[in-house]
Amino acid sequence: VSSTVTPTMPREAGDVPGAGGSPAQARRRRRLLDGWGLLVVPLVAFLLVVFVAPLVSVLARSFTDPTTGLGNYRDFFGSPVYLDVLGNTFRISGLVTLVTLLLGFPYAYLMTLAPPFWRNLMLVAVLIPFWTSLLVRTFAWVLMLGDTGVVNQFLMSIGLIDEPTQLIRNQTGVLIGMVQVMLPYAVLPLFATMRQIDRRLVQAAEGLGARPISAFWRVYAPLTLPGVAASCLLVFISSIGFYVTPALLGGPKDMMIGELIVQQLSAVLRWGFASALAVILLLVTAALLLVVSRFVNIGKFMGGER
Amino acid sequence: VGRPGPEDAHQGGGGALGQGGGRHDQAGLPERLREVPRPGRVRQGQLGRRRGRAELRAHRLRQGLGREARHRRRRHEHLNPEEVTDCAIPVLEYAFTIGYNTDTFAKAHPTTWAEFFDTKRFPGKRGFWKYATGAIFEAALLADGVQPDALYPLDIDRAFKKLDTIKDDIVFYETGEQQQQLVASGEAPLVQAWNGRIYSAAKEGQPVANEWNQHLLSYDQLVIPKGAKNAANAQKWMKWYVEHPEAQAGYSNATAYGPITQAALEYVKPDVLAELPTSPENAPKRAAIIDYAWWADNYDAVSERLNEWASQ
Repeated sequence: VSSTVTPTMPREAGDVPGAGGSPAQARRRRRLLDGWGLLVVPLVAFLLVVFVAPLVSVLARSFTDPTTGLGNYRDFFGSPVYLDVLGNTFRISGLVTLVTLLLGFPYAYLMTLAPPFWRNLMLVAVLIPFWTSLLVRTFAWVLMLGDTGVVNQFLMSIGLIDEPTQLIRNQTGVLIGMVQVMLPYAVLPLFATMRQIDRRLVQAAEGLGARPISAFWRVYAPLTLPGVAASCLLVFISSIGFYVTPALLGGPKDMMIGELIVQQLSAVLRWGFASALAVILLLVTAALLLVVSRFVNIGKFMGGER
Repeated sequence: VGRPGPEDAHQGGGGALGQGGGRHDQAGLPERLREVPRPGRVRQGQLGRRRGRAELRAHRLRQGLGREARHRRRRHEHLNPEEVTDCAIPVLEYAFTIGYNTDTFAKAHPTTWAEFFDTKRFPGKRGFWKYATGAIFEAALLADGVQPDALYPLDIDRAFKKLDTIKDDIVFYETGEQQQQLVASGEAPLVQAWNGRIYSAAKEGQPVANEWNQHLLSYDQLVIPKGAKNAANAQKWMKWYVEHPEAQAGYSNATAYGPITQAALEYVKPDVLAELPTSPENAPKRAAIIDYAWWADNYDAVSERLNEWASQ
């Protein structure tokens, strides 16, 4: 029954994780550093140049531009408008995460049940938008959801509504656009987790007298949790940085922090303030991750450790 | 991002103007201008082209940017003096016009900003550029009855009061493509437009047109950052451009943005001429010219208020 290894099992029964004291492992580790370890040098150098260095300069700028001190941060926390934008960012990202999970979970589940042909078809259906340019998709939504867009025209032509329903330039538009973009990020980790779950566990539960629904919720669903956590995390973190979609599909009330940063950078030229915004976003996100990591093992869900 | 329409004229160009296409490149331009004062950091684009807001930037650049960019006025007697400053010369003119959908308003369309703000007579959404220098305040004040020659200093409180009256009908757009799409689809049958955008949409067969009455004139300028490596060459090119009306006209023919000298008009194609703010027909319809000196001092504060107002 080796294929029934669930993602949580290696930790308990796997190949001595965490027991770093074994001499064999220490040897292996040393060897890694000696030879093959050097292969990471280009990547590390690359990250130093294109990620760490700019990050440090952003951090420095947030404290020094236009004057040295905490002025930029004071401006941010002193204005309800900016705090609103930060609140919007997390609210919208949270909603997007919730909706993609609600849509993605049953979809991924259905994929595990479907025969190969249909499963592949469902996979392609998820991936095609994934391969399409974000900008193209977002503009397509503008054409679909506008007052004169396809959706409203259709609903009016069949007499369901008399006036166009506002589907764009508000939160609805942002959610529709972002959920579509993020759906593959929710479905794929969920599917990857679910396909590894041995369905015989559910059968066993039913064989022992569980009703199908409780077998699903008490046996199957908990086993999907790593996938659920991975997809939520991936969707949420990606959503926080969205810029194009809320800018085109949202109204001024739905401004997210990415848009504010762009505005401060290129319209008002307040680079120090824009840097401070980026730093605040980074810190708040890191703090959130820290809180989450107290409850779930993020590294494991993201495939970072076994 | 932070500036109006003519941007796409330069797509794929770049080169001497240090200006590539696309929004991201534009966002990079201020960086280049900001960074130059530091020794050894001059980048290839010595000639920064500011979109009608050189004055606006100038006040930020003043500490760093010396007067290397200053041009002797005698060279510019044929330029519009309103558009020449110590630090910059104009490179093109454009106008904030009333852009309207010709299907929605087949019989009558707004011909003044007052009518533009009249949602009873002309129902439908109104598109405005989301940034403060999009002439939204100028239009609101004209609509409220302020005399064109008394526009500046702008009475921002009064403008907001006027804007409050149509707030629910306002759609803010970010890009020129959005502007065209909004007005052409009828989503926002009225937009405060960039004349070249409406022209190019109309040329593609979209049901849109410019109303030139009460247009607000604006312009893009050229500046040379202090310490630029090829400043002398850049000045040579500027001089050449100013002295060659046929070159300016070529620019206009491609974009429907106006040349900077009257002499260029004779080289402009007639159908383009009709859509230029500089044409003999349209020039008298101008309400005012955007005062970027005023905006240089007030842009940040007004921007913040506009953001706040829009997000409520």
